[in-house]
Amino acid sequence: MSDLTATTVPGARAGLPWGQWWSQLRAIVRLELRKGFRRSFGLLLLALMPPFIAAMHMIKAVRDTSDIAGATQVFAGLIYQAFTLRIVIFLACVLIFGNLIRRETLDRSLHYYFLSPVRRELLVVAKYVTGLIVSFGLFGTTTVLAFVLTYLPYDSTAVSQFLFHGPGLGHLASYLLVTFLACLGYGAVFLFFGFFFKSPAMPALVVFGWEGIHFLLPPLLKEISVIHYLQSLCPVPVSEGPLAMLSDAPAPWVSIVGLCALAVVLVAVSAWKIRRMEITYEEA
Amino acid sequence: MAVYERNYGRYRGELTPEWSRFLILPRYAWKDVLDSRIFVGFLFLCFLLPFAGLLMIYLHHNLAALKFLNLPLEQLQQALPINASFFRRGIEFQSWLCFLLALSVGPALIAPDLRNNGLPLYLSRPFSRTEYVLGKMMVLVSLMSLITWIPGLLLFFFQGYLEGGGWLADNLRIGSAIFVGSWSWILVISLVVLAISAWVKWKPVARISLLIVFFVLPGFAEALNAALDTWWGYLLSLSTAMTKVWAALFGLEAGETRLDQLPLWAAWLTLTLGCVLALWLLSRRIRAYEVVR
Repeated sequence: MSDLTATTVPGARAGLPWGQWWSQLRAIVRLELRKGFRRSFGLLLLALMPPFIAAMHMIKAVRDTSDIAGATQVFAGLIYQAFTLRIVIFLACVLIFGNLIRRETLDRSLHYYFLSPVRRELLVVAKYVTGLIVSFGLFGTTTVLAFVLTYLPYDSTAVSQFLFHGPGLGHLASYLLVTFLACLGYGAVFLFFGFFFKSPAMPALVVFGWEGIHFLLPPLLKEISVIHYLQSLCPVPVSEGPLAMLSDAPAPWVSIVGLCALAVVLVAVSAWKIRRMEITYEEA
Repeated sequence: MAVYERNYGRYRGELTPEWSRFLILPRYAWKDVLDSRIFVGFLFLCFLLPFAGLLMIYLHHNLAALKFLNLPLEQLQQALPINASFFRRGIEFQSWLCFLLALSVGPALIAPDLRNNGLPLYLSRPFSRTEYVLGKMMVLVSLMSLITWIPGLLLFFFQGYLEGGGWLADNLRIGSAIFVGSWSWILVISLVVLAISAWVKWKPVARISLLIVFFVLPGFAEALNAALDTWWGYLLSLSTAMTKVWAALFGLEAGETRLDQLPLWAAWLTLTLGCVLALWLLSRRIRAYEVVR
């Protein structure tokens, strides 16, 4: 018996089945991508809105094709920060992450996962990763497309100067980073809410209001919002109006580490929650 | 009684009159809705603003109370006059509460019937598709009326009663604005919510879709307007069109330069098209049987 203990304990410690978890995670992600997001016309429609605005802006831009600074302001202020980041990505994350677990409950299919030999924590992580892949894949593409369309009607020499010898590509990389972190942060928040509320719409509305009045909040309260950190990473600062309360923007590393830490904590709490979850397929 | 003597007899009781059959649906739906304590609490909160308005009107006409509160009448009249703007602000706030009410009640109205193939159970009875939609709509219409035009008109008449001297006749426009505006918003929001409930299978997704319609489209409209320097984008936003209609009904400015440029006919057109689209979506979905080819 003592031999058994002596051989089992170190063996279990050394043998955390990372390889198995990795293959299970990939399998769940593959399954989720096929199952959950095959016919998401609503998401596609949401993703097409920012490029559509950029395309509409082209009509106006053809009047003055040398104003690259104007185009930068339009993309930063109007297309990206005001619309894509604050409205489109936010609500898309509610739609994607808020329903990751809830949809399984409504479809009465969660027990299939629970009956399979997969750790529940792994299921949460896999679902979160799936949401991240879908949201960033969709809205990363949207960001690039809108960025390209915004600068397309402008003088090609000025645009190539801006892109390859100026800050253009750096701006695009920053916007992609912000998009990724927005999906990461909002995704974790709504995955978390998905475990505590039957419908994520109500808490989403509260968070939407909170993020919406972010510019009016005192500096201390500003720090309890995702947009505060995302905004500080945007390459072009945008005026928030005369009523805005001024505060110091966090350093880029604080924003990145802060949002990653938020995501880790919320996914960990969600994983802890699913360990104790009992399925009751009540009328939804 | 022997088994062979048992027989099915035809129902000989009183039949529900045809015109009021649609009211059966809201009767059961109200029961379900009012079973939720959270919803009842929310409904109670919806009356706080009308109650505050009532107090304000009362204070405007009660010098003793003002003296007790040490509040000069002139100061109160200057800070918060009882005029079109007072009623407009109140009713606009209440109309946002209507949205929240629709968000909580609306998605559960049609989706479960469609998901569980319950529609044939309704439509196999002497009950038409129109009556079904009307019945479901009545749930929302009645609850929204309770928090919009009913308290709004009560406050209007209360102010008219206390003010006297032909105030009601002079400000008839305010009363009609409360009534017409509230009904317009109630109809638009009810039809949109029912259409979403009919097309989106799950309640949480239906709620998020509603958020998308009422938050993404106004944002999209604003961005489109700014990108093209026009007002055409507002034709996509029901809530913005309603803001314009409210302002016009009360005879006030909308308060935003671009929104003031939006012609009133365009705002009405947006609301009408929203309703027509919702009705079309409902007529496509509310069917007893679906033939799958």
